[in-house]
This record gives sequence, structure tokens and C-alpha cells, in this order.
Amino acid sequence: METPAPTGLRARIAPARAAETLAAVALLLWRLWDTALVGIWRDWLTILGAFWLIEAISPEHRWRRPLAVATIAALAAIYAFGQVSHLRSLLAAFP
Amino acid sequence: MIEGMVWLVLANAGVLLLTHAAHRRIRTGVGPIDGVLFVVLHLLLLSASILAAGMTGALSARGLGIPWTLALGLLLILGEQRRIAIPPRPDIGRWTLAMAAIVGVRMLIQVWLYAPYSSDTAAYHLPKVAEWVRAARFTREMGSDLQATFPAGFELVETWWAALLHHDVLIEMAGVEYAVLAFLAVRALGSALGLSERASWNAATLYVLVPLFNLQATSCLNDAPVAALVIALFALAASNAHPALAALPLGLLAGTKATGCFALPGILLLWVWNRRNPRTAPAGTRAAAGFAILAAGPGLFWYVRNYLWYGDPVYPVRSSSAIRDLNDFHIQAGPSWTSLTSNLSTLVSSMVRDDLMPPMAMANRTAEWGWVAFSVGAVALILEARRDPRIRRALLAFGVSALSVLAMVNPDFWFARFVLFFPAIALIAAAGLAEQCRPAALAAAAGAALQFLGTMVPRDLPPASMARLAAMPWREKSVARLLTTPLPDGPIGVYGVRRLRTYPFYGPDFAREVVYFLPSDPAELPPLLRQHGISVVAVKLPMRMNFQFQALVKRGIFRKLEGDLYTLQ
Repeated sequence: METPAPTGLRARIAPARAAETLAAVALLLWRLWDTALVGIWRDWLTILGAFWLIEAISPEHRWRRPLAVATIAALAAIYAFGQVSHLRSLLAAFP
Repeated sequence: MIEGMVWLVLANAGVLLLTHAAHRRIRTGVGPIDGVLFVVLHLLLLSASILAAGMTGALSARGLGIPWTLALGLLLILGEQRRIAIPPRPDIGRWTLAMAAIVGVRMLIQVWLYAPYSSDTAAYHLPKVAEWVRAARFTREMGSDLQATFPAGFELVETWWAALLHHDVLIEMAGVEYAVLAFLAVRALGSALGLSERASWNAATLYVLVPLFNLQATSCLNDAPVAALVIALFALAASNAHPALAALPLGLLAGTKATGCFALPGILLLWVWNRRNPRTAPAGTRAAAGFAILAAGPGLFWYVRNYLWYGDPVYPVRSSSAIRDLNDFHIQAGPSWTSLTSNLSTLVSSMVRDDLMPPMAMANRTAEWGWVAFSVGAVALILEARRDPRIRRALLAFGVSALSVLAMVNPDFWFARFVLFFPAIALIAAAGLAEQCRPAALAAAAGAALQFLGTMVPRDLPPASMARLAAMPWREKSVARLLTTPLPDGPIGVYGVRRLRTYPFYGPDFAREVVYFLPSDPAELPPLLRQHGISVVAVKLPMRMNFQFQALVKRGIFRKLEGDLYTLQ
């Protein structure tokens, strides 16, 4: 007797992608547990985890490239913000 | 000094030509891997040479220069120079070439302008080099720091540059050579993971611009060399290289720092995953095996020495708690789940943003992976790992190595430098993404430029101190001259069991004797100092002994000069 082909959602999500989605969700859950909520917006792995989850669920979406660029820009902005105080102290150290 | 320069040129020419001769016998025909093997062989021959000279009392300009000049002569007679083939012009791209050249030139300028300034460097890495150069051999005296007994593979290469000139003006060149290794290793790894040649070179250039790597390259610290060797091993693993070839960087790694060996699990995993790929084999397997045996020398020497001297190959990691407490010594022995969870959480939650402290070679509370790895590299890793199973496997292997290291090291403020190899995989992914996505390429280029600017001034060497160092004549260049109090010409005493920066006391030409004292009662110190004709002593003691010493200061037996320096009245 043949096994019937999966239908609906199970047909659309391959096992590998399911595992990947679960891994991204696990990463996000870990970050939610490990990080204070007030600082979650700038948590590096949380942003990456969210990006990864979107990629895992819908890798061929038409916003893929703009989303990647926006994520890069957001991370660069977070990093830049953290360097402002160092730049100020460096400039102050010069006579 | 002129004589030293002549020997330096001849000895370097000799070792380079011998490296070429050796390389011909083990090269693989895979260009990127052969580049890595050349530098590894060169470092191996340098290290073996210093080991031999150190054990036989030949650690001097003539002791090193004469044998290598003879070797050079013999190789020239045999016509080795006629076999030198110019490698094909690499497809590196003019902007990448320009950036790499600028980074290289800046490193050379830093070598000239800097004197060793980092705290660990001055406390336990270089005092042994100073003692070796002064005695023209390896010595039992290596300074007062308990960590002076750690493997000193990087210090062997530093000794090469210091012993020939009997001066430390070029000592930072040791780090520059490891920067070249890292550059070639990242390129080789990128190539093995399917990157185009141009993208591989981009990744390599991005890696030497990682702030922590760039600062460490000219700081005489050994974490950047460890990272370079780990990446070299990853490149060999990704290429399914013959195990005899892997033994060369492995030997250097084991002899440089144990933290590099903690990264081996991920490297082994990548080897296993790639074992069915076509093997990257040496031209001569027996020659490769011979060099692998040679690599065991620099790899195992320190552990055998420690076993013979202290009865423990990893002394003082497993020493008694009394000794560790006295010296404020906190090195973890063995894996710890607590260390893994704490280190991982701290690394990804705060250190990776680099906002707690400015960039410095010791990476205090920061990871200093830089803009590009943090933003473009991280996103690219997800995209490229999803697209390409080779990148995915490499990412997992790098992850295993990083977790392995994090489980083996103490949760302190400075552990991130032990995983300095990790940004390499992110930057390889970034270079791959940049080829397909112009905004990513622009972001990577902008980030690289900002990282270059951000590493102009390491914060453990403030601008004012850097300016004063740069202005010093090269013969006198030393951070000791940044002190208000001039040091005496005669010997200086050191009375300390805590971390104390003693290397500058030797002077840049290693002319000043430094004598280490360890009486358990500070009251015994004055007659010992008089016996040695010493009037100035650096003191750093644990609390109880410090109280006793300060009582002597109150009685007028010692007078404080500056910092940890006191003079005997």
C-alpha cells in the first residue's frame, strides 16, 4: 500500500527547512531568556535570529534582498552607536 | 649594530632560501595552500633555529648569522636560487590590493615607531626573551610572573628579530609575519570553500583589518598568531590536506599557546566531513613526514621542559592553590559548563558590540571583531550557509571550535581574544555576498575603512604616549622612557609575585640587568639589594607582604619614586 503524499502545510515545508525553522526559533527563545527585554532591540543574535527565521520560513520572498540590506544597516547602526563614546574620548585625548 | 644588521640580512636570506628548498619538496600544486605552507615552513625553520641556538648558547648575532650565512652559501652553490619561480600574478583587484598594501605599510611603520607596550607582553612574554638575548642562551630565569613558563613558540620568532640585532627595534616583525600567514590562510580557506579568487583576497584583507587582529599584530601578543595558525589548519582541513602537512602548523600551534589547541575539535570535524574530497597531497610524502617530525620540536619542547623542571608539563596550571593565590593566578584547567555558558552569553550579549571599552590589543570587555564581521559578515553567514553546504559545514566547524575554546577558558574580561579566529568565517561569507550584492559590498568597504581608521590608536597606548614613543630615537625607544623618573644605568631589582611590567627595565638593547628577588619577608630585601649593588627596585606584592613592605617605606628604608618603583635609602 503506498504512503499518501503529504498535503497542505506539510507538503510545503521540507524536513530540512522545518529543522532550520526550529533552530531559528530555539535561538530566539534562548535570546529572550538570556537577554533583558529592555535591551533586546539591539541584541545581535536576536536580530540575526529573526532574520534567519524569516529566511527559513520564506526564503524566496521578494523582499529578501532589501531585508538583508536593512538588517545589515541596522546592525551597522547599532555598532556605530556604540563607538560614539570611544570616538569622543579619543578626540579628547589629543592635545 | 651594523654587524647585527648584516647578520640579520644574511640570516633572513639564508632561512628564506632554505624554506624555498624545503617547500619545493612538499608543495601541493594548489596555489593558496602552497602559500600557507611556505609561511608555516618559514616559521618552523626560524623556530627550530632559535631552539637549537638557545640550547647550545649560540643565541647571538654571530651564533645565528654564521650558520645561516653558510647555509645560504651552500644553497647558492647548489643553485637553489635558479629554481625560484615567480608565482603567477594574483587576481586580487586593485582596490583590495591597495587596501592590503596600506595595511601592510602601516604595520611596518608601527614596527618602527612602537616599542612593546602591552601589559602581558611586558610582564611575562618578553622578559624571558630579554634574559635569553642577554645570556645568548635559554635561561632558567624568565622573570617573576608565573605565566612565564607557558609555551613560548611566538617568543622564539620574536627572539630571532631581537637576538640578531641585540635590540628590540624590529621585534614586532614576528607579529607581522603571522599577519601574512593569516592573510594567506583566510584566502586559502575562502578558496577551498568555493569563493572566487578575488573574493578570497577580499576576505583575507577584511580579516587583517579585524580590529583585534590588527592591533595584536604589532603588540607582541600571541593571540593573533594563534588565530592565524588555527585558520591555517581550517584551510588545510577544508582542502582535505595530507595529515603530514597539517602537522606543521599544529606543531607551531601547540608550542605557541594552549588555547589554540582547544580549537582542534572543530578542525577535526571539518577534516572528517571533507575526507571523501580529493586529497591535497604534498609533492613528497616522506619530506612532509620529515618536516612533521621537525614540527614536534617547537610543539613539544615547552611541555618537556616544564616536566623536567617542575614535574608537570602544563605547570603552573595545576599547581597548588597556595601558589596560585599568592600570584593571583587564574587559569582554568579543564572544560567547564559554567565557563561555556557564561563566556558564550557574555560574548554574544555585550562583547560583540565593542561598546564597553575602546579598541586595544588585550580586548578588555570587547571582542573587537569590527563593523564588517558584526553586520555584513553575520547576515552573510546566514545567507551563504543556507545556500552553500561547504560554508554551512565550515560554519558549524568554526562554531564547535569556538564553543570548545569558550568551555576551556576562564570567564574574565579578556577571553574574547581566544576566539579571534571566528570572524574569518563571517568575513569569508561577507566577501561571497559582496560579489552578488552591491550594497553589501559598499557596506563592507565602508566598514573596512572605518576599522582601519579605528585601529590607528590602540587605547593601551594613548596618543600622547604614542607621540612620545614615535619621537624617541630608535636606539632608546622604550616605554620605560615614558616614566617621569629616569631609570638608573645600573641593575634594577624586582620584588614581586604579582603581575609587574618588567620588560622595559632591560632597556631596548637589553643592556640593563634585572635581578629578581623572592624573600618571603620584605625585611630581608635591603641587604640583598645592597649585596647586588641595586638601589632601585620595582615592588608588587600580595596584601600581607605589601603591608610589611610599606612599613619599611614608613621607616624611611625605601622611598617611593613612581608607580611600583622604589629606591633604597
